[in-house]
Amino acid sequence: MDIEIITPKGIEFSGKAKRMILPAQSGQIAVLPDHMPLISVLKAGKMKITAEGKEIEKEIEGGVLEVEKEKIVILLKKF
Amino acid sequence: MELKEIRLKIESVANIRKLTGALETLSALKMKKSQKIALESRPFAQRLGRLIRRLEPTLKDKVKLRKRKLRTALAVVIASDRGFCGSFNQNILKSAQKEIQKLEKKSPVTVLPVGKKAIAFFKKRGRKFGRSITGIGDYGTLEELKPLSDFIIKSYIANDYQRVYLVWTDFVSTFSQKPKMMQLLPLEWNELKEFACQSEDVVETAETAIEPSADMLVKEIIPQLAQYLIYQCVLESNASEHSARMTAMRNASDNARERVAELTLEYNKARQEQITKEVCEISSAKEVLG
Repeated sequence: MDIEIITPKGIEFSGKAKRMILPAQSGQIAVLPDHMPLISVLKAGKMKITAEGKEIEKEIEGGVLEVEKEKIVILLKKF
Repeated sequence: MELKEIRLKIESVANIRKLTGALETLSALKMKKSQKIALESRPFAQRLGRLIRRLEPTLKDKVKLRKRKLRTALAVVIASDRGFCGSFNQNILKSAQKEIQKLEKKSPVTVLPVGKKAIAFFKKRGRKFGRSITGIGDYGTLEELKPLSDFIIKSYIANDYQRVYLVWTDFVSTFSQKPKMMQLLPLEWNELKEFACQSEDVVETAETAIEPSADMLVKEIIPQLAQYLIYQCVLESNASEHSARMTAMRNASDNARERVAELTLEYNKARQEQITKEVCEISSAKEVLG
């Protein structure tokens, strides 16, 4: 699945990922390919993305997760 | 003109040229940086605009604040603190004035000027305003803008204003900036089109799950969206201001350079004239004596 991480500083990451785990309001959620369309508020916590060839692990301050059919966008205050 | 007079004039024009030249270099640097910041955060702002579009069906039912009767509107006008930037402030303030007059047909409008030039403009026109903001630096930051966005959002929620409009200068390119207006609150996709027009089309998906709940989303996200939209508008205005100043200073330097060339020609002519006159006097005096 294609993901994009966007912050006010620009597009921080753009590429394919197999799996990601994000801190949602009600607990951690995992997003796998073919996830249903979703808009979710993210809180501060650990974000883990299994991208092609590398793992991204980062503390985030909060943001919004937007899942669409073709693309997943994570809007973050800071990266 | 006397020779001395011309010489003094050349000197003063050359001095002006030095000054505008320095300002040009300075604002060229600031322009580059502010353009970079504004362009970098554009994808984020556009994405937010797009998010609002996706949320529109939900927002329509959920946001009660939208249904309040319009009594007073707030118009936030973003200009600059400093002058020397050509017609930048004139353009934005005149267009703001026009838009406000249009809005006033529907309800009373309170103005919130941002920047000293905006304050001076609205004071001169006898408009009363409660609050104004100055001192937003050359490159607006979220922290700097917090008082502004907090005030806007708080007074909107407190029902002081039922509509909030934002008038800012959209940065198109170094040579072109356009004054624009949008309705910031309530956040409605229709009103944001102007802002997020470049964003890709939304594929209308019927079912979008919203986590944790639509109410929560509205409460959590809308103020943040508004805050970031204000931020982006200030960035665009900053980039426009510096670009306008750079262009204005370049024109001023060019004009000064031209003027120096003209004056030098005039000076040489006057000098030549004086020499000719002197030679004439000497030779005629010689003839008389001879």
